[in-house]
Amino acid sequence: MSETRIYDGEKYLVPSVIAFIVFGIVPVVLVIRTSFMYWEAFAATGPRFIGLDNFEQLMNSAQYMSATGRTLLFVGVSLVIQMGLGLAIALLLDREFRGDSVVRTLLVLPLTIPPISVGANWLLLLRTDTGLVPKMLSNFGITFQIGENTLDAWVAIFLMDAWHWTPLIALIFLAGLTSVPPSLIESARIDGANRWEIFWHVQLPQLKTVGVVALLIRMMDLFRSFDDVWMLTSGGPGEDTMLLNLEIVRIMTQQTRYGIGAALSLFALYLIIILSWGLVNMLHREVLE
Amino acid sequence: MAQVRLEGVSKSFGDIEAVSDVDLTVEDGEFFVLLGPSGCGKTTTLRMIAGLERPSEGTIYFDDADVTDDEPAERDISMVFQNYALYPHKTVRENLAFPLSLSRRDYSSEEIDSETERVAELLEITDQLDKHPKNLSGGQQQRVALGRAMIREPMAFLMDEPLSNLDAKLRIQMRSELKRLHRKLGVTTVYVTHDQTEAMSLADRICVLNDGRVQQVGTPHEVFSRPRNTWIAGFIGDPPMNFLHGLLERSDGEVFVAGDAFRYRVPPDVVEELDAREVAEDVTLGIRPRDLEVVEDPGQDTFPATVLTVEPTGERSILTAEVDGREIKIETEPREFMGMQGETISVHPQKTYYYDEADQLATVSSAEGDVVEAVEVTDKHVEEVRKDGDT
Repeated sequence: MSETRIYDGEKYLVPSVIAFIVFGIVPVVLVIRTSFMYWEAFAATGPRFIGLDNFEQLMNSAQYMSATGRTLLFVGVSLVIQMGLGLAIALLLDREFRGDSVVRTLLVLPLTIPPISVGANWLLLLRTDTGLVPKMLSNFGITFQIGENTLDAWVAIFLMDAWHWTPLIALIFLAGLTSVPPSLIESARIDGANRWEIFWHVQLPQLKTVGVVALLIRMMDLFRSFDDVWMLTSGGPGEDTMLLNLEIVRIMTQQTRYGIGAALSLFALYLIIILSWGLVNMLHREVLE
Repeated sequence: MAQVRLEGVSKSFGDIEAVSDVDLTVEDGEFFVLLGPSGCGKTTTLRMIAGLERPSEGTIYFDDADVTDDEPAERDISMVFQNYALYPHKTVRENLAFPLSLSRRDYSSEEIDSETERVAELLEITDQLDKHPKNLSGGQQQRVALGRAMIREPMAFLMDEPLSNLDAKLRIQMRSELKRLHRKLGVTTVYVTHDQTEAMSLADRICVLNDGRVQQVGTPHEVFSRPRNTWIAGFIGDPPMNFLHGLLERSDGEVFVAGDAFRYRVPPDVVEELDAREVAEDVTLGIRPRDLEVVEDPGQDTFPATVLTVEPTGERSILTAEVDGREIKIETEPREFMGMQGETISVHPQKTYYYDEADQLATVSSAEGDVVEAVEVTDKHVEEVRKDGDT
């Protein structure tokens, strides 16, 4: 009796294993296969294997490499803004005050909105013709045109993403701050530490682990950005905010060049894996120390 | 080093009064213990002395300086926390040095090094200096926490249950260590604990707190031998003191305390005291378990008690018995009382405490009952036990 029971459990895993293979493994294998093929929907010849030609082509393409560069810029600057701002907000909220739970609840709201809606709302706010923000700024003699001015478009994207995701970082840091034992801070106070010294010597070192976790989550997520940026700038003006994901969608849906699109997708995947691997290593060192 | 003085100090959290109207003076160089059950306000009192909480009312003085509104850092104290509060990301050396590096007095790095070494030597943790706290045992962490408190020479040490996270054996060892360090450094120490043994063994004086109020302040001996009310008497001593309620009855120049099921003759020296203090009819008789003796024959100086349970602990046995509808504990020699459940025995109190209607200590009988000699009961009882075992 008891012996058969041990093996009983395995059959309950079958549905999830099947789902994982169908929705996880198969698509990845297909993408990898496609990346080695010349495959364009309206080409004279049908799909055929061309080895690493697609990868060679994209490595040598100024267009794709600058999309990569723009993606790294987007991820890097957004991380700096959001980590900094998130930590600042967490420090502000790490105390009891009237309505603190209301503020914390409000903070979560942006996280519940789908990126496409965020993009739509920001577009309504920032549109050059009818948007509220350009209208108000023009009162001060400032022109703000996300469709014309590259810098304006970047500022818009950074702001939108920061608005959407900084609360997540703030919540993670807030959880980290809450888990610092009060006695550590009190002990430092008794020994004469001021607010800044407490932050620098006691709180910040305790936030390292959650900080790396937040960085990892946000970095992977930023690499995946598509819908809100697509909604807001569509990669414009020109191609000035054309991120990798936008480029991939354009190749796959508008140009229907599946082979090179698959190769570019994998390239983006490798980029994320390498960067995440570095952070995970950092995390391991932190935890093991 | 300083005298610490609290005058009319109270602290409320919302509607809850954690500490009410506490007056205390901790003398310069004294080892002063705040003792009480959890929630009695002892930690809050300590935190007010530290400056981590601000009193709702009252004034705190260090020597003659009013420090009530001073920040913790301005008070020049150091504190040891229950969970040690070591900085996990700093090594032992960095933990020890931290208070010096923050000090308003600029210490040179040589000074910091030599001070760190000195404290590490004092606490015998020199070979742990480059480890992180989490790689240390509880006892070593405790030493580091003490070291960090001692590295400055503060006006006072404040300790919040510093030994309660250690296992029993280590706790006893650290207790004598603390005593040794206090002798050596002579710094005023305020120490919070709920452990009466710890309080008794460490303190120059104990302040017993309950419900945010001071119950009694005195040397360990005073608190133990003359507990001012039944609460203190029941709190200090293990097993706790037994209490029996009764009425005073006088006949033929003798005085008895009588309950429903007992009538106990009050020793003559106590009668004088009770008369002198004009104690009313109602009295509570307090008897420590170790002052109760099982005797062969009932008499005017004994109670009938029905044995409920027997707990042998090796060095002694604890009998739980019923007297007048109340449970009492009796500490006896480790004889074989096991078969005696349900039997009625006679117990003779050798020392009795008398509390009046207002729950204040009226008097304590002088030790050693001068009446009725204790009778050896061993053999008889052992026989009975054997008999029980046979059936």
